[in-house]
Amino acid sequence: MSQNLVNAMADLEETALVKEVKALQAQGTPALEIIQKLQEGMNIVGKRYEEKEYYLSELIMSAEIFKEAATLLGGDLSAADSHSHGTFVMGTIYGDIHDIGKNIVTTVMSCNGFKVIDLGVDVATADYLKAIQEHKPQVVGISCLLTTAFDGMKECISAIEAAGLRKDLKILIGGGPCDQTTADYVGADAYCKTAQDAVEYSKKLLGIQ
Amino acid sequence: MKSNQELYQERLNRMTQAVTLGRPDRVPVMAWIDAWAATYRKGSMAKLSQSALYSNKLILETAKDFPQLDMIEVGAALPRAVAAATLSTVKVAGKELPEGSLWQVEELDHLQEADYDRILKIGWKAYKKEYYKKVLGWGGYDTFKLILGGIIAGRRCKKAGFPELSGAFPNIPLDPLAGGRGMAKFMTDLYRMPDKLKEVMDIMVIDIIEENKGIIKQAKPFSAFLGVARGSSNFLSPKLWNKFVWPYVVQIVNAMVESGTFVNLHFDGEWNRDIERFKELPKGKCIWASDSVTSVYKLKEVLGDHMCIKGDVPPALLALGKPEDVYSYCSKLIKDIGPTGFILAPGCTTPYNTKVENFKAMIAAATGQ
Repeated sequence: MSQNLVNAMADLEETALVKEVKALQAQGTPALEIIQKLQEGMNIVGKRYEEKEYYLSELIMSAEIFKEAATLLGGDLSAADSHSHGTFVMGTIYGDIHDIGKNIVTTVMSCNGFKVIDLGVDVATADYLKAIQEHKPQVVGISCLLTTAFDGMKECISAIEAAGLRKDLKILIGGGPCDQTTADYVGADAYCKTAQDAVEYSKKLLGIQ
Repeated sequence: MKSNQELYQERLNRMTQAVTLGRPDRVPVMAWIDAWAATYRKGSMAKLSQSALYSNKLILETAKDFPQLDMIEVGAALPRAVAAATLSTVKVAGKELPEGSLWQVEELDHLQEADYDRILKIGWKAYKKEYYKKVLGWGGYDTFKLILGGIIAGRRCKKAGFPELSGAFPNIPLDPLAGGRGMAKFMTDLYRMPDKLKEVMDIMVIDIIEENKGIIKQAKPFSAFLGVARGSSNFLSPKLWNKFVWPYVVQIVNAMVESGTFVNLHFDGEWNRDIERFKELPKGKCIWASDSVTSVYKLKEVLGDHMCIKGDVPPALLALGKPEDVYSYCSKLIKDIGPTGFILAPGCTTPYNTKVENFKAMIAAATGQ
């Protein structure tokens, strides 16, 4: 039956997925086990995205279905946190209040097994530093939709480095006007064109298949 | 010395040659100068964001310093028009943001599921009025002021000898719906209630076309600006794209062309998957404006003999690059994508923090000056 759950997640069959989750719950299947099956389905979604069978619309829909299932299991995505692959801290850099791209990345990362600390938008450098010290993430994501925020990203990354926090983490950037030139300018480890790029980069970094 | 009207005509002719796939005397170069005018003229961003005529003044002062420009995209900076087009609230300097800040769209889920039924019941035109009042706090006078500001700015551009590229702004139904509803919710709506959304969009497009035909009849703009922000090929699967994006692009483009104007396809994001489809649009009537995310080389290969390509100097290059890199990038574009059917321009708007020497380098690549 749990293979049905994996398939329902992968095929974005919302009704079937809800039915499967409820059935597994009724059988007494632990929430963590159900979450793991959902994440198996999310892995397939990710692969289909890579193969251009799925697009952003499907990534978003899969994340919505995943969240719906997590709610049925009695929490947001917190059940997944206890066995997360690693921690991902993300925000939109100060001076920029855009949140769509940031929200897509945080949701997709959550659904792919990462514990996500979402710092919100217009995030000051001090808040990134505090979050890194507190949560000890493996990966930090900085989003930006304005070329005027490039200098903010650069300053923030320099501050992370100056505080001696860069050693054990990688910093990803993304957003409309960003490209590899921007990543080089601000000193990021990588530029992610899509949310799935962030997932793939982070999984590869942590040696997750 | 040429008069402003002679310069206006010369610039217009050069652009027309490019759009109709003729051979202009040189590749035209143009820019969307809005926020950058405040940087360049050291003006007030707060005033620029809130006054169409102040923004027009700064834009024209900027353009006059670069007389080789063949066109400017629009004669005024109109963040409120962005709000209207996307059904989103927009934060601007001097109000919600500090002086010197660029305006930013705040996408909240103001539009609820019940609003789809409301649109079906009263039509898009009437619904928009309700929405503007309820969510954006605008009455009819505000809309009138916005339109009037745009008209006056257009007249002043003409008087100064600089044609505006676009003067009508239709959009496909998907964009305001996605903006008002919030992207994640809207994307899930596409899955959960596709038939209802299709019905809503079919109603909306009728009003969108009628409204813009009226504007074109009155204002006779060089082109209608059709911007698609949330409908690009990497956003939607082919199944969704073929149902919710492409049919409306075709309907609107054909209607605008029938009204006697060119269409400025301002298509940010990545459209590589669907470039072939643009052959279905009328030949020599459209401008494909790329922000550098879609491959300009693929555009040239597939659409080079079908429609004019505009762009695609990357924003990061203009903001961070060196003049020699900008010059080299633009020269290569002119060589590879021109000399026919190509307009050199920044991808999207000229970034707020574009270096002046980079802007000059872009122009020099087209004009040799």
